[in-house]
Amino acid sequence: MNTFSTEWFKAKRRKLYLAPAALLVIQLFWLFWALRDPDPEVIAQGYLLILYNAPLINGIMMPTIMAVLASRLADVEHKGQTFKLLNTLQRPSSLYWAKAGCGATYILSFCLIQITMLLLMGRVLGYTDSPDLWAYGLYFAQTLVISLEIFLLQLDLSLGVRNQAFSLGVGLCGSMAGLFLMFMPQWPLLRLLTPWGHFGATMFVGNMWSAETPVISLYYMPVDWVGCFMALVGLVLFAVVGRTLLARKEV
Amino acid sequence: MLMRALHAEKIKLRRTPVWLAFVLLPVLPAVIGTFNYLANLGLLKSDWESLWTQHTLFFCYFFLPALLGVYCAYLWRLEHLDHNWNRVMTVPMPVWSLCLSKFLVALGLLAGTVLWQGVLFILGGLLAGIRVPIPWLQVMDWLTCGFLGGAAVLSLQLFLSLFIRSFAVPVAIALAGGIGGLMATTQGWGLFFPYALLSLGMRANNPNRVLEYPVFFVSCAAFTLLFLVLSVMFIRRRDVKSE
Amino acid sequence: MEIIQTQNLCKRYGNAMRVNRLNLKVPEGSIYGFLGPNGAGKSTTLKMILGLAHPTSGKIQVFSKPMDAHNRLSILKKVGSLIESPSYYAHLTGAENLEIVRNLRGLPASQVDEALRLVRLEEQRDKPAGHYSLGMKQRLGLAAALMGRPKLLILDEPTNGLDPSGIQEMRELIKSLPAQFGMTVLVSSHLLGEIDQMADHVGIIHQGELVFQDSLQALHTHSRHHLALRTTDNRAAMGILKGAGLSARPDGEFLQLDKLSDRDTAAAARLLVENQIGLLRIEERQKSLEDIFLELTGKAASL
Repeated sequence: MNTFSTEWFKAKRRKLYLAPAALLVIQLFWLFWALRDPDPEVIAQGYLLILYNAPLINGIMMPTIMAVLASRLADVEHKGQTFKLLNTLQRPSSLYWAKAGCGATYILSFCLIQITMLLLMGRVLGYTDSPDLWAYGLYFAQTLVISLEIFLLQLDLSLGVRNQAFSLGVGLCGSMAGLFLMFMPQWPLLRLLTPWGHFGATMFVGNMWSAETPVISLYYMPVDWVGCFMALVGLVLFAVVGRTLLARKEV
Repeated sequence: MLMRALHAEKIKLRRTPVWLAFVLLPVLPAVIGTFNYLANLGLLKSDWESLWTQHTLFFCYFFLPALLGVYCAYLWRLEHLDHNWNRVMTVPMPVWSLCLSKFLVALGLLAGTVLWQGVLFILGGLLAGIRVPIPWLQVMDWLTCGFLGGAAVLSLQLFLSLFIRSFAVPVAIALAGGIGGLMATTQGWGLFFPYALLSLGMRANNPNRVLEYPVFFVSCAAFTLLFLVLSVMFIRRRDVKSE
Repeated sequence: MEIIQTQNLCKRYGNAMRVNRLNLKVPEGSIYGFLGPNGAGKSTTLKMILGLAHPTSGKIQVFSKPMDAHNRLSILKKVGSLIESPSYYAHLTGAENLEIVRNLRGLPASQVDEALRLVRLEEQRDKPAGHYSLGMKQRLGLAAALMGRPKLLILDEPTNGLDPSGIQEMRELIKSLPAQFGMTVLVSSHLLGEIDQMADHVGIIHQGELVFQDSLQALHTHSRHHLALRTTDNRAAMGILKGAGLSARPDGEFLQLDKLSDRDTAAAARLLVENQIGLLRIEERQKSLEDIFLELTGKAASL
């Protein structure tokens, strides 16, 4: 507990949340902007439309938000060359859990804010259907787990390699790949195996779209539990790998 | 002096994996864009323009600005770390040549990225079996204008990474800028927003968009110059701080 | 002629005057020791001289030219410096780091090897500077500062992180520079002993103000000899001695007198005995530089 509060102390005055929070605001604004002026037929399935669009926007932005957050948390140690000092004060594994816990707290608050704002957005846009609480709950859980999974991967990279261009480059490449895999349902395996693909893999609202009748017709797809499971596996895996790597890191 | 400063920048880039991002990142949209094109041939017309939309769709709006943000953040981070500002500011090198050499190195990386993007586009089209002859002139136009728009983004990102010492924050701003560029373009203000110049120049998502060349060129040049001058002024005014 | 001259140099950070009306004079060809406890404003002063920080008020002249945006480059051409911690690109080797400086200063290629040899880093030339020990980084910084044989060398705590033999070596190197290359050296330290062994001119800064500035010799005359005596009644003795025209100051259990000739000493002793005051001890003492430093700054010499 002590190391965890130390981590918050280090975050003092650095406004770690500022850049990620700003991106979160932009994300919500973007969604709102894309959904403004709704058609009558959209209004009737508006809350479903939000759940259709949100994973897409998460897929584009969340990986970078996570990469930024992880880099901000890790870079302070590289810049101050404090690994040497900290290794004499605390076990490296506890340093890792403190950083992970610090990030997880931010992510949990981001996800809570996001889901609240999404529901509020439906209200403001005057959607007439009622939000399916089970679906929104599932979406919340998925977003939280996948974001945390990607965050831990980024944290491992940011802590492991001093040059932050590396971790952010990997993050960008990954989110790019994840985004495209979202549009490639023909490669389900690739989606399952890359953490960035999990936003697409776990999407459970589909759009019946045809060239002749360009109307939006949304429907629930069967939930891909394998995808959800893989996200959890990734989360645990990256945490264990990161902890081990940090413990073995020579300073 | 500028040549010397450039040479110094070249030495600093030795043994750094920055080029990896520049090789890797454009490959993804090219590969997946090509497959997407093939998968949707029923909906898309079979020609180079349709393929171009698939290649540039997300890349120009979200990932290229962020990638340029990474380049710029890396270039200034070299000086932010390990007290290098003390050295850089006590060698007899004018501030403008320092800023310009950073900009030119970034511009070189951008040129490489854009050229590589072009090569991948042509390759993708040939492999996808497009029979129409390659519209060389159009491709050159897209790439050149994209390059010029990218120069404005580089100048702005260099300025941001100069006074924000964090690596990640300017990259976050670049991503936000890309999305802002998407909105600005849709609202018709694209020519007055640096991040939108990149996607406008590339004609991302809409290869037949009419570009008002004179306004576009003036806008690119103005933003590039503005942020270069701001960078020089910033360095001249501030005190070099200790870590 | 003064190589560096400042007039009423001030630097304010927030509400604190970090450097307060400093009038520094560094003569040509000298090794000027800039002495002061940590946080006294040494680095800030050196940074202002180099143009790294901008003065709040006051003037700086280097090579008799004002240090401003206009003269900055022409002055920097003739100045080598090592400020705070050494600067280096961690992913580049020592030789590559020097190559950058050589290139920016427009020097011939041979200079890299020569500089490495001068600080004895030849063996480590191809190791990444990030893997260097603190002492090696410090020597790399010195090598960079020496490149191009500048007329003026500004070194901020150059012996930081060096082991005893490294300190010795660095000191010998610095001492040889004025004679060998005609350099003027401005070197800061918080260690009095170090300055005493290296410098010929001294400036002592305390809380942003210059409390002493002169040649090292002049500082040493401050540490002149004096007599200390203990008597059965110091107070009465003081009155008697004062009556005889000798200034005596109380100093703990002792009385302090300026140094007297043998004859005067004998006379003073006789005077006391004649007045029924027993003389218990009479010693000749020398004030150490540490004492003077303490008097000037109110702080111990090595903090």
